[in-house]
Amino acid sequence: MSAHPYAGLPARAFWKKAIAERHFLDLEGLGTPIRLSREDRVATAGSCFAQHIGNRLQAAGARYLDYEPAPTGWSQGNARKHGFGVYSGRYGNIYTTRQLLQLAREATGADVHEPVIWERDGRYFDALRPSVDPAGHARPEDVVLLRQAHLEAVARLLDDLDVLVFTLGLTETWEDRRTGRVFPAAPGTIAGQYDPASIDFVNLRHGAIMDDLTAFHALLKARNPKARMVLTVSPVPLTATASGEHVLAATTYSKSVLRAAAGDFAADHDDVSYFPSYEIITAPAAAGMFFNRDLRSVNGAGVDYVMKTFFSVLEGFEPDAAQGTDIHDLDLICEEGALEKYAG
Amino acid sequence: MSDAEQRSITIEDLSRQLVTTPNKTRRQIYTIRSEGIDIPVRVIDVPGTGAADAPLVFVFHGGFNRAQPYPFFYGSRFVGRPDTAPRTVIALCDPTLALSDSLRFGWFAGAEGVDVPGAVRTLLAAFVAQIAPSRVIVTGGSIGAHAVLTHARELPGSMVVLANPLPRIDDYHQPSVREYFNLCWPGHPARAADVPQVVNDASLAYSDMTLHNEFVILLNATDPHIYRQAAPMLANLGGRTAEPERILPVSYFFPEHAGHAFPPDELTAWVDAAVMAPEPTARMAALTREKLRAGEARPARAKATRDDPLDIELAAQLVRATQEART
Repeated sequence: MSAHPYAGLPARAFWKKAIAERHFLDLEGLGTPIRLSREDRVATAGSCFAQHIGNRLQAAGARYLDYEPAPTGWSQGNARKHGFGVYSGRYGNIYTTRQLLQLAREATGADVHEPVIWERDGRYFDALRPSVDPAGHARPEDVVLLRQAHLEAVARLLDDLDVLVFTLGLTETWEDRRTGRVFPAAPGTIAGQYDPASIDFVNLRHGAIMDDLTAFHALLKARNPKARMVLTVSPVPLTATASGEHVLAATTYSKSVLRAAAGDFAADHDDVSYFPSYEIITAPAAAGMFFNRDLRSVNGAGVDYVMKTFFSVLEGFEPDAAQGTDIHDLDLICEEGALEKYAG
Repeated sequence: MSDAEQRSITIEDLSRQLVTTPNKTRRQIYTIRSEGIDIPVRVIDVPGTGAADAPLVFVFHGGFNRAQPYPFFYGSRFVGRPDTAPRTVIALCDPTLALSDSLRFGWFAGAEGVDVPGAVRTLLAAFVAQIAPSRVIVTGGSIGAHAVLTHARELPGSMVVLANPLPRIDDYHQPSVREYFNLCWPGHPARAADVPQVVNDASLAYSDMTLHNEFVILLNATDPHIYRQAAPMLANLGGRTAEPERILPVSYFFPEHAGHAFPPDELTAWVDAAVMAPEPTARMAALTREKLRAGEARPARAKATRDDPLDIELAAQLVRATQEART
């Protein structure tokens, strides 16, 4: 028999041995090793699913950065509702690579923009992170003040982190026609006014996402040469799409593009890793069991399994048993969820 | 010497005490020798005098964290309350686990030369013969379902109440399966299918329609074992769809108990219902009514129509704190 390239490959290379003949909770060899030591300062950002990663890393004893802690005396529930302790900075969910790049450029002074302020019922919101202030603020200048403090914190974070875990969530976004800035939520959904003459729907393609990641990576490394990145893709389907497609097809498109871009970018950079949380939750072998009854949000069992697998691929990091706060009790904060109310 | 060993008793003596001095037996742990094997049992509940023929509930536990001392019991919530009905509740501990301090899963399946299924079968039959209950209920969750199904078929007409059942040994978490076979069946392959003395799929026998049991099967739809365990079990029970009043799968989503864990109060409510449902017909419908009566309505979450005053106050606090920090 002649030799062929599949001869001698490990079991993880074959669907039958790696998936079909195994209990899905006994998967082995999923994910490539990720270097992380207990001394590494870890930051998280991304879409809603990234909140789980930050929560679990903190509970596991990682040196997790929180550069915008809540004011003294706030309960954990109130703090999270106002965007504190959700990520390493109070940026809210960063769904797209464009949003990540935009924040980094503004925080480091590479771009200078006037704050975009949305109004709702006499209250004022930071349009670039509208979920962090659930009731907005009394005056526009309050929003400006908080944004300035926020950008300074983000700049320090970019300078100090050793590892940034970023979860790519969406390709669909809303872009201001004049400035090119993108928003995490469409104007009019949380606050602000929707004006079709000034705002464009954008569905980022693979090339655009690669460009965003390349630009962000270059900016980060220029300020912080030791920084590394871990990319994941959120398995959470779109709440709604403005693409004109069925939301299922739009979700598949969005996640496929993000998955391809994240994998390609990691393959091209030694200091960037990809972790397959998307695959774990959405695999046919999981048969949807990791989703709640909305078939969208990921249940605790799914998060547990993703994080168990995540910790198994870390080189140089042994997680503590979770203690103190019950991490299963933390509510996720999602602007995108606001679109639910328009489903009728 | 453990407490359980200190209270060795015969099945005849314990059955007599359950009737004559029920308050002295309630919540006590005993060791009963059956077929040469010491089986720890805990009397979870016992009816007052004069109600000796109340329903009898046998409880089988699932896996246990061995940080707890042996013996282990499940079912402390299955006690009767003023709004339910009297019952005798006997929880059994798997004597297989006495063979090793590290063994967490034994399926009540015993070991080489230790016929735990035979000993449990004799014990249950003796209890039923001595107590003569009006009804027998056999319950358990997770891998305890394997023992429930193994023994309920020997108790004609008994009612089976399962939660997230794992009736198939070989389809469980493989390191745990290997640990059990390596410790208990050395020299055999680490698979139930290859050990003739061990039943791999305890639900398979129920494809025999002459077995006359009734089933309530509680499934958390996010249980990761559902496709390799509960789904084939339901297929084995499938012939009973000709008698749909005898099988009631109840599938719930419990976001706060995602995965294999199951809200214990749900199982308790169905055990209560099995104890209380009237005989002899339409039992499943009666069970559903009883369960609904036992359950609590969940309050709907009110939809906010205006900003929360607390959020407004916190926003103001945040602005003040930021101003102070920057001056």
